[in-house]
Amino acid sequence: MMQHKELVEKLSKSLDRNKSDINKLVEALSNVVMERCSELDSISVPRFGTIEAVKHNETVKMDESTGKRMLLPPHVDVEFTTSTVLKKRLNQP
Amino acid sequence: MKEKIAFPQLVELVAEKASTTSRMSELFLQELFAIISQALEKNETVKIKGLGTFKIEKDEDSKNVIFIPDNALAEAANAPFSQFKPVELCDEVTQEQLDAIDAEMQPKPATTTLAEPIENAQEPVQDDKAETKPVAEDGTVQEPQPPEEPKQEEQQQAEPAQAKAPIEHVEPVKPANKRKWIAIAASIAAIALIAGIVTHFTKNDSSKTIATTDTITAPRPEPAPVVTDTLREGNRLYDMAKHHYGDQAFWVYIALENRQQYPDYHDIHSGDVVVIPAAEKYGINSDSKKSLRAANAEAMKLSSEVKAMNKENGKDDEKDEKEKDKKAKKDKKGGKKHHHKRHHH
Repeated sequence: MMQHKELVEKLSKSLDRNKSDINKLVEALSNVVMERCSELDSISVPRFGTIEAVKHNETVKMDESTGKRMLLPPHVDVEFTTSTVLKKRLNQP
Repeated sequence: MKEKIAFPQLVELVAEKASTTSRMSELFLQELFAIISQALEKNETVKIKGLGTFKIEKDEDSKNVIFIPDNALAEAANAPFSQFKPVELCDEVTQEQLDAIDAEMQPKPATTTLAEPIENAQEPVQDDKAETKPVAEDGTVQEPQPPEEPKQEEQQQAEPAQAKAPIEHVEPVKPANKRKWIAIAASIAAIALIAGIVTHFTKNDSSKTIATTDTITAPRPEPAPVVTDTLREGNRLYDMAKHHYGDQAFWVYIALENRQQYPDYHDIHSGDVVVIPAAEKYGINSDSKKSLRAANAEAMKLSSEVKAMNKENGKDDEKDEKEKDKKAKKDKKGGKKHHHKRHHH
């Protein structure tokens, strides 16, 4: 499990920048992703994947334990699609 | 909306946000995703503050990356729908019931075509569809029309007629009716007034001349008729009451009605003409015990009033008064015979 702190340290080392600069950049990235996801845009990163906001329409779902039908309201989910390159790397023998 | 942001664009956006150079932003992003990818290759989970968590999901024979967005990101994305909550649907409402409601909501054409023969069904259906609303309104009227005749012509003729008819009838008729009724009511009131004045004067003049026959002088049938009666030889007020109201107990109302002319009802003798009040005026109903009781109470009140009046005038002798006192006492017990005796004059 790589926590945020550990990630920042690694980036700081490899980019030769202090942690505050890296933290600033990470914050900027998360802000950009948040803004773009609110607009239902998608952000694609080559060899990594795509982060996108997907709107799901309202649906009726049956609760199997109680047998009651629930009307689920429309909602927006932030979803990630792994790129084929990363998938291949992950599934290398 | 639904814009695809490529990597160069993302670099620019981040550089702008972080107030740094594009080069720096590009290097940072490349390094960041490289580190995450490496970590994921090692089946490590990576958590980024404000963005979310990337972790590996293992299937039977393949690995995939799962992204769990940070709460702040998820809420920001779902903000337009955040006010909606899951709702439990009512179990009793079935699809069949919904269909039934839909069927009911449909206008009448379905029922009219069912009622009519199948041969003619096609024609009216087409008409109905062409003019949905007006047909639905007049559907009830059109149904009984004979199916043999050509329908298209009939409907064309019938619809304007039906459309005009209510307008012609409803709007102008109402005010005319009102005027008529106001005029009738005014004329009735005027006639009643005139009749009352006339009878008042004629009664005084002709009271003695009218013979022993019962005369009901009704000047006109429309206004409330003033009924008068002449007291016959040997008859009393309570005979009149029985004749007119069905019970002799109501004699008191005749006495009260004529009190202006005959302050003491003992002074009404045979041959005198008295006004017989309408039964409604005093709530006279011979079938009602309440009405009878009220009449007896009224009689007692009247007799005591008359007695007091006579005492003031010194009209009657002391002996008579004593006799009347005795009679009044007996009246209180409700004996009708005492009225009978009193009217002998």
